[in-house]
Amino acid sequence: MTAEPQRPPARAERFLAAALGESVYRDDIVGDLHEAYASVAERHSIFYARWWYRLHALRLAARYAVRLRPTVKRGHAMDRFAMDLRYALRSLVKRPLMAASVVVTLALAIGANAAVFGMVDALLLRPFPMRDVDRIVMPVQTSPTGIGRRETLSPADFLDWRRDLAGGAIEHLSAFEWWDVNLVGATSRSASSGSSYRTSSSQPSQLNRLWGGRCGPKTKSSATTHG
Amino acid sequence: MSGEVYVGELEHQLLLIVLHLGGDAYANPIREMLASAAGRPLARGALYTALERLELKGCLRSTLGESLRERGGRPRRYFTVTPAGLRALRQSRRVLLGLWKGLESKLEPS
Repeated sequence: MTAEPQRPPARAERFLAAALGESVYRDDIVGDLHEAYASVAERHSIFYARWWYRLHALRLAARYAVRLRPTVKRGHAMDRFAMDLRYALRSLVKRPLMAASVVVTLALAIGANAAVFGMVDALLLRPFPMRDVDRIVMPVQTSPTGIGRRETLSPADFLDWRRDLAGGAIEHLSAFEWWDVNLVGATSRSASSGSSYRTSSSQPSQLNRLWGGRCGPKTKSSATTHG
Repeated sequence: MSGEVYVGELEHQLLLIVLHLGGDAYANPIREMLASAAGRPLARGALYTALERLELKGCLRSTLGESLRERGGRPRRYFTVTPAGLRALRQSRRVLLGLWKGLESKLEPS
């Protein structure tokens, strides 16, 4: 025991005062803890009292860091929301298994929602950019040896098809040709894969919308870059 | 403050302790008395929050004392119960006693 009053750790005291910020009771809290420190130091050792002080300063700082000022104006929407939020966080921390099941449930629900919204977005919110999608068909040629495989149609066959089908079930018939290219520059390390198509339609707007471009019955190209 | 003021169990106990301590009612002895008399060790932060709430409700009034060396030159904040606090205490006591009536046989230790 010394005759001088016991002083708590100066850094911890400054930290506590700073953490309490503009709290109404800031000086009172720091003073009360200062006074209690002397009492603890008398009953135990200085070493014990210093750690006791640091622990209590930390707990008070943590409490005031996340604390809202108490209010008697019950019923304000944000007050209730903040209380609900803090209660939910405390409940989740106290029951980790429950918290894990909540997280998994939310993850599954969000994933399912994203999948369903993706379908709704593609089918309803952003439908195909052309009219009468249900009336568009793609006649293809197959061979007896490659069932289910699309074969290339010769220009002569296309002309026969257009002549025979015109005015019947098919209103307009167009052909297109398509090929992929890889473009690599002399200094560029990235490769560009591109596609090119040529239509033979006299009314190309529908077909062009299908490919996402605007063109006449001539060759158009598009390219996408892959790093 | 208009209308009735209601106090919870902890606030009820704190008001009674402030009345018991009289002119020496500041945070440290309030906390010690709560722990010894009510068997309720309360975190310091929770105590200050409850005291601040009672002040906001108008049940407590606080005044600062003189600066003290043993507190690092800081003053003590002494609390007193206001007339509104006394009314709230009487109301709370009346409600509790009313609810206790008729339950003595069940709740009194045999």
